[in-house]
Amino acid sequence: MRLPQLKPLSDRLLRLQALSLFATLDVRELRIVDGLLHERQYQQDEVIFDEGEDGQAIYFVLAGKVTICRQGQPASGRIAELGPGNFFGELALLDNSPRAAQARAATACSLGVFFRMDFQELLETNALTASKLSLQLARHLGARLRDSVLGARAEQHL
Amino acid sequence: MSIGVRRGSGPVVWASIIGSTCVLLFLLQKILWLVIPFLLGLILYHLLFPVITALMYRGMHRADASALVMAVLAIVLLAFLALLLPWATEHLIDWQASLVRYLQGGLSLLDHSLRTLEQSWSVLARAHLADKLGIRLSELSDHAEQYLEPVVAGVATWAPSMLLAPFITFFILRDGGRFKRMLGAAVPNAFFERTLYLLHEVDRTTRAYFVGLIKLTLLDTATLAAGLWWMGMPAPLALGLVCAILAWLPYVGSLLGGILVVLVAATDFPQLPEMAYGAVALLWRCVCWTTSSICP
Repeated sequence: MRLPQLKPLSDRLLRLQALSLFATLDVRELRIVDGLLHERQYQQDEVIFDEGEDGQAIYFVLAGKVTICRQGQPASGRIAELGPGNFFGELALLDNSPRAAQARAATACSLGVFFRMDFQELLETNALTASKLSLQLARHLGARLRDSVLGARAEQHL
Repeated sequence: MSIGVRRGSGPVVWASIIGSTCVLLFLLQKILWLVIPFLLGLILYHLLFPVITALMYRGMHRADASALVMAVLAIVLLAFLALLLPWATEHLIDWQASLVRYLQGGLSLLDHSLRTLEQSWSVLARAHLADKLGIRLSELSDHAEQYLEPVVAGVATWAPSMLLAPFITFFILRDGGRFKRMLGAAVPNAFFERTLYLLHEVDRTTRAYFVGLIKLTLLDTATLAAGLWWMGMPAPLALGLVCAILAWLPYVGSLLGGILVVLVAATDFPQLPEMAYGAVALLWRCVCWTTSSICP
């Protein structure tokens, strides 16, 4: 008996599946989320958002590199450099509190943008998908909290 | 100045808002045939969107959900029209007679009120206000076709464009999200977040406005119908519904609703002028009460 052939995932969906926030979504759910994502292209050194701006969206690095830094100090105030598969500005999914740092394109890059309003709509229309995302987000924020409170070796103790 | 304190909009901002509103109104007036069906389509979209949301929640794709909801709506509307048309054609002559009867009833009430005023005030009696107004109104009714012709021609011109409303609704329901993404893609990165936030806020505000308007209409209809029924007026539900829909037009709508109930009361209860005043008071009270209960 021949098993039905599954349609292979597109490169874009494979890239989305590689993101930890979307790791638990199945193909159908990935397609739903893909329909809500905006793809933006940034040039090197272009500001993605400024410190203190109202946060409206979470950003996923699809290609290139992004620097998270203190406002206007990409070299001296650098906090982190993120490559493909990473995301930033995730607190914007929860509320519109001001951005804690500036984000700049370290190289020419391609970013996926997911808006809080779309996430809220997803909570109403596809609650299962949204709850999977929420759980992944909670796990991510929990790990951040653990790292900042107990230090890098916290996982070994808890 | 301390950080975080925001200054209010200045006169330049307000002048710009008022100016752009006037320009928009002027431009929209030129394409009113498209604006009205678009507004109706928008109202229908906001009313149907919760159904689409519920279907999507059950796993249906947005495009399929939109097609299904619009198909069901079309079937319901066609069935309603199929039932309504024979009944309407059967009663068309009666309605025409009723319209003339109610207009005459309104004119009699006006004449009666003016003559009562003339009896009380000699200034009005010397001016022969009731007689003069009666002559003017009879002249107007003699040339009624002159005024009715452009109205009928206007309705005939506008009616086909109203058919656009369900199509507009369908496309907003199906492709609204895609259109928003397309708009978002067209703006520079620096304004991207703000633009999408603005679009979302516009969508949220219009939804709140139209959903509130429909709730207000239902509440107005229910309270007016109950009040008119209690007063003993004929067809209270239909009258309440027409008055509630007329109240969509700010100020002018409530006035037209008031005239309508006065015409009905004056014709059906010619010996009881207090019925007409009572109906107007009821209309005013209901509209005020429902408006304050929805918008405290």
